[in-house]
Amino acid sequence: MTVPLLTLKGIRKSFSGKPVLQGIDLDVYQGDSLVILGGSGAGKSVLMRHLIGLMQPDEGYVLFKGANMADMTSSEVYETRRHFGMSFQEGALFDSLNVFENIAFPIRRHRRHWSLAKITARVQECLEMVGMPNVAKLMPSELSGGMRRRVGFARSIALEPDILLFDEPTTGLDPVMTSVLNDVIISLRTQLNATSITITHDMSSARAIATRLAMLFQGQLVFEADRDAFFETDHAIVRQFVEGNATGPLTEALMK
Amino acid sequence: MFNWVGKTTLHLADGVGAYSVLIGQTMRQSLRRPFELREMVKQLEQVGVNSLPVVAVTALFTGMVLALQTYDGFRRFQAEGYVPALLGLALVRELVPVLGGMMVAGRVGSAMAAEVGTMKVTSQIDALQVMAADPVQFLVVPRVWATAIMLPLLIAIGDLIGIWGGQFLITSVLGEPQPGFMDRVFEFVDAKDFWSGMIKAFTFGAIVASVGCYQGLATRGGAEGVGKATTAAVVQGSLGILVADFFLTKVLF
Ligand SMILES: Nc1ncnc2c1ncn2[C@@H]1O[C@H](COP(=O)(O)OP(=O)(O)OP(=O)(O)O)[C@@H](O)[C@H]1O
Ligand SMILES: [Mg+2]
Repeated sequence: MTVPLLTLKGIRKSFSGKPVLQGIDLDVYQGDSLVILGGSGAGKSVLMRHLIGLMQPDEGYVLFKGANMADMTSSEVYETRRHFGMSFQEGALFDSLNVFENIAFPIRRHRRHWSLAKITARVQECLEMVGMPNVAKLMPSELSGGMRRRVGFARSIALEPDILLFDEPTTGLDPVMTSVLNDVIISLRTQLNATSITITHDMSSARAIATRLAMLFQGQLVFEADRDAFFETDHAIVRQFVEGNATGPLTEALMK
Repeated sequence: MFNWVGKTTLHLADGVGAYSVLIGQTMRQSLRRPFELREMVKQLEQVGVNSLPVVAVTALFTGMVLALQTYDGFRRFQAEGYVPALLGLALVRELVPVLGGMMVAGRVGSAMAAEVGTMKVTSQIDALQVMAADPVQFLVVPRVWATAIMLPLLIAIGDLIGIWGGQFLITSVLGEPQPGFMDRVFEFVDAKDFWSGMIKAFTFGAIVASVGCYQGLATRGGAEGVGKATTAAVVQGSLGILVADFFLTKVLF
């Protein structure tokens, strides 16, 4: 049996007494494209931050290739993070740097021997992938919300990392751009065998990119399955979420 | 009431602990490669350019008001001749470093807290960490060194401006020119006085920048949090300067 790339075991996390994650168990294997679904405020972003060590669990642990992240020295943690690329829900572009420098940032840090020409070519390639070839000189403050998100996405894939974390990459994008990003995510998996974990509220996106899906509800992953099984299940919570019904267990829980 | 005292004490101890950790990390990361030269040059420029006007004006008026006060007082017992000496010593050893440092806390420390705090609440600090860039190494180290190096330069310029301001006031405003004013200043102020001021300025620079960055990194809760961090950076930076000044004066003389 192969060792999972990432394992979450019994993760619990609360913020000032308010529980957000209440015992998460999850295995992610090489080449998976996992999509995490869940209502707004369910704790999806918090879960993703645990995967890369930006947040530490109150209880439980995270394993990366079988090694506990909590036991790593800070240089080992940074070494581990070289395998990751993450695009943030907020974009999180460095607002003192222009678009070019933002995307070049991880390259400059990890590919010190690259020439400027090579960096420029790679940045341009990433910008074209997200459909914005002509914005390299602009500052983040001069971009629209959707453009910023796409630059953040481009920055996260600039180094072609093995593991990609996307926090709502397509929220607020038009349908065409959403499909373009979906295709980028799919080709990263098929061509580079990258592993990706994506949070999204967009069911068409989820259907397109996922090999597996998991549903986060009340601090737990209540249902997890391969794509086809997930979309055909009778699990009441999943059904309501996937179909977007106004009545069902999700809304009943809200009213309590 | 006791509860409040207890809570505040705990809170304070937490803060001091976390701040000490940051100082330790800053020292360790200063020695570690890669050294962020580009960021450092940018910060040197920002600190210098932003602070020179305020430090100059502060020094000028401090020199003038000190001359005004002491000249009048000393004249009552015919000791005007000692004004240059007093002016030189007070400005170089104490007033310009402390007042200049506090102005820089308002100008630079607050700006750093706001900038780093904004980066914190918009996940830019997280993004740095994800790209395996240590925020202390990337943000704090260049800022602390740039301010610690720049502040002594600014204070040295401020010393000259302050003394000149005193002379200008006595000569032109009070209309009682004192021949050899500058000579007398330099007769009394020796190298040790000057260097003690420089050591203070270096320390104050490190305090202002590290407190600013600490508050920035500790920011929580959106724009309101950034505002709080900025205020705290100025208040704590200024208090830090006053406390450090006392101990440095005790050690240096
Ligand atoms: N740093 C933090 N400090 C305190 N509470 C937090 C923090 N981060 C998240 N929370 C809380 O955790 C809960 C889950 O937040 P999270 O951002 O993970 O939601 P989400 O599932 O990503 O929602 P959305 O789909 O709207 O992005 C929220 O109730 C939020 O208030
Ligand atoms: Mg979220």
